[in-house]
Amino acid sequence: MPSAVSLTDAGKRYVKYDDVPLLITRAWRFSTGQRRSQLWALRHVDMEIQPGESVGVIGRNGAGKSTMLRLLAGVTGPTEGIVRVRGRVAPLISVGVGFHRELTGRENVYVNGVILGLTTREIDGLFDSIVAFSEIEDFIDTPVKFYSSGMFVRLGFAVAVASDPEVLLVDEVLAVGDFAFQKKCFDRMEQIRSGGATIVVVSHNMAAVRSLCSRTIVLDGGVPVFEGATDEAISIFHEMLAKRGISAEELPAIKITDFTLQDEQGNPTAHFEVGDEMTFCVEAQFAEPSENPAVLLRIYTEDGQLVYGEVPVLSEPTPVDAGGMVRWIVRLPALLPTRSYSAEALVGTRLAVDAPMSGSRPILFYVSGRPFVLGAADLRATFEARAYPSTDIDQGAKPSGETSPRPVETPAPGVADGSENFGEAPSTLVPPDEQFDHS
Amino acid sequence: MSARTEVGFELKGERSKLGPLLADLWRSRDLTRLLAKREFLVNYRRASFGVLWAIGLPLAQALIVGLTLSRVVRFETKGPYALFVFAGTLPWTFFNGALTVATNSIVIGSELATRVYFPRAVLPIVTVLSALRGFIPSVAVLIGLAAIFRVPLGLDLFLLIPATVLMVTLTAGFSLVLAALQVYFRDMKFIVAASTLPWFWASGAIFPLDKLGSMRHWLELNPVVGMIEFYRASLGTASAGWGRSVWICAAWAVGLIALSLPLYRRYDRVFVDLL
Repeated sequence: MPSAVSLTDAGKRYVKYDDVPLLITRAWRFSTGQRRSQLWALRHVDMEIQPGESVGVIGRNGAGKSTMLRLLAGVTGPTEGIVRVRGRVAPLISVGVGFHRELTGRENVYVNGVILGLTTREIDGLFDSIVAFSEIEDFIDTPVKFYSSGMFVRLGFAVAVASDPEVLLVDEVLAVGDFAFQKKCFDRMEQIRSGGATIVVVSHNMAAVRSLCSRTIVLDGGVPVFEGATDEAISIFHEMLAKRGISAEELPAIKITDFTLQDEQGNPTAHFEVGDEMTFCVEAQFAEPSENPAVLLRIYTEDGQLVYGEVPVLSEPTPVDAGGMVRWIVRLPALLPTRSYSAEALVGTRLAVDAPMSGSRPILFYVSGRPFVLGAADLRATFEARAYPSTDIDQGAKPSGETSPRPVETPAPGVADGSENFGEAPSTLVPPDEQFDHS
Repeated sequence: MSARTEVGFELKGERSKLGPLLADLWRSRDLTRLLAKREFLVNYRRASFGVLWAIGLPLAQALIVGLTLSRVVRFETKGPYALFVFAGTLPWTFFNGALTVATNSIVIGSELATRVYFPRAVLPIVTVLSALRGFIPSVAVLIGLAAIFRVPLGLDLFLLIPATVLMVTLTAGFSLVLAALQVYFRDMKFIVAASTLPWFWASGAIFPLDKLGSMRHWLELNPVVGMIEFYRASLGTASAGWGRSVWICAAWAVGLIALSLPLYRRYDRVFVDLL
């Protein structure tokens, strides 16, 4: 069977523009013979993807991922090599692109479907299933500018997947929308794939790549450095990040000699289940004596956001003499959502915010979190819910019977205590077009 | 699903092949039609008088020019001067309006264009077609006006059809070329805006060509002259010998379309690299 997607020694070179392209600047450059600098965003890529296969593409920012997407979508041509795609490509890139705010959902479904390569007649046939999938039946004839962002994404995704594409290109889009819908999207993609379509996932989200792709390609500097099983690809990507990590400055006086991560039993590991205890060991050698050596541990998400950092004030200072060594053991629970993280340790000679510190190489680790947890940390909330039958509400009973002993007998209108609007008349509870906004 | 035409693509190098490019363009006719409809709706849905603006603009222009200029100079025109001017400002407003928007169309469409492939030529063509939607009803106004002025209308009226075809082709030709250039030279739209006024004065929209003497031959090289004369011819108010200017206009239109072919063949799949 011929490949659905095939790249043969494909490469893309961009010309760097640092000025506004105008007639006059062009003429000036031309007349002075200045050449622009050029840059290979992607080079020597050989890739074959079979129908029914789903492949991930990972890499750091600027590794050539978006250029790869553009080549596969056909929006740009390769500078060298061949790009071949069989069948219709539906890019699930920034879902809802091409939606016009002034037009209704219905009108946008048609325009977007045609943009994705369907004919109007095909959309006629698919229309009901698109609307059903997006769950916005009541608002389909409302201009989309009144939609919540969640509704917007749902409709866009519904059109893209309804088109039954042979090749589906998936970008970071799955980060948006509520979880129930995300789950639905994953299921639908799996369904499309098992129906013989090809899926290419280009993402920073290792969890998404892991759950969707059996095979993954790692890009670095525009060149594929690995192609194989997704788990292996992810660990290679992490090693790559660790090697190239932004190494903090190093003070000549302090040398971090050891920085490791272990599980509860003391075995080195880089993979934790949510709630597991993580143990970091930091060891530093001091060339000069220090009264109160300080350590700082920082944990970042893979895209560089600080999740947690602490400079502990220890009950006992640990003075060290010249040539001496300090060893810290840091234990903390992995209360984190599914993602890759990097941790780094910094060591200084005194406890102060602005004190110069020596940094370690980052350690990369991965946490398998609970499903449907979003954000920087898993705070393990407990949820309680209670349903109120419509009959109770119709009789004027206010749905305010929370388990908390909050006084609800005389809700003063407009009291700015940040409480919910539960004391007010039900008709003003939620504006109709916000009811669907769970995002 | 029913047998879908085999789609997909094979890209070898950045240049497109003419055959697949034209096939893609032909396949994009649903897209072109819907995008044109969208652009038209979006333009006029929010305006309180809606589509009336499309008719009102050239009419107002004709009225102002007709009223003021007829006090200053008296042009001897076939038929009433106001009708003469309206038959000129109507196609001119279409041409100028569509061209101004179309020049920037590929740049403006970048959000879409960087993510989904469709022949980029669709974008300027969409603008021209969307302008055509507003133009059609004003042709009815032109005919109505001619009836009011008791201009004898004959079979010449059918010339409105080839006149409109020529106007659309000429506008599309300019739009295609300028929209492509605008991606590379972002000052194209300013050049278009700056040339609007001299171009209008040299278009013969408000004065008859007969009185120009030898100047006329130079002026007729301006394709807009032929475009306008063709409309006047359909009302029987064109200057004698209008055919020459129409042929020149047709040559321009064909030439511009022919020029746009290698342009889009070369740049269709690399426009996004600059957006």
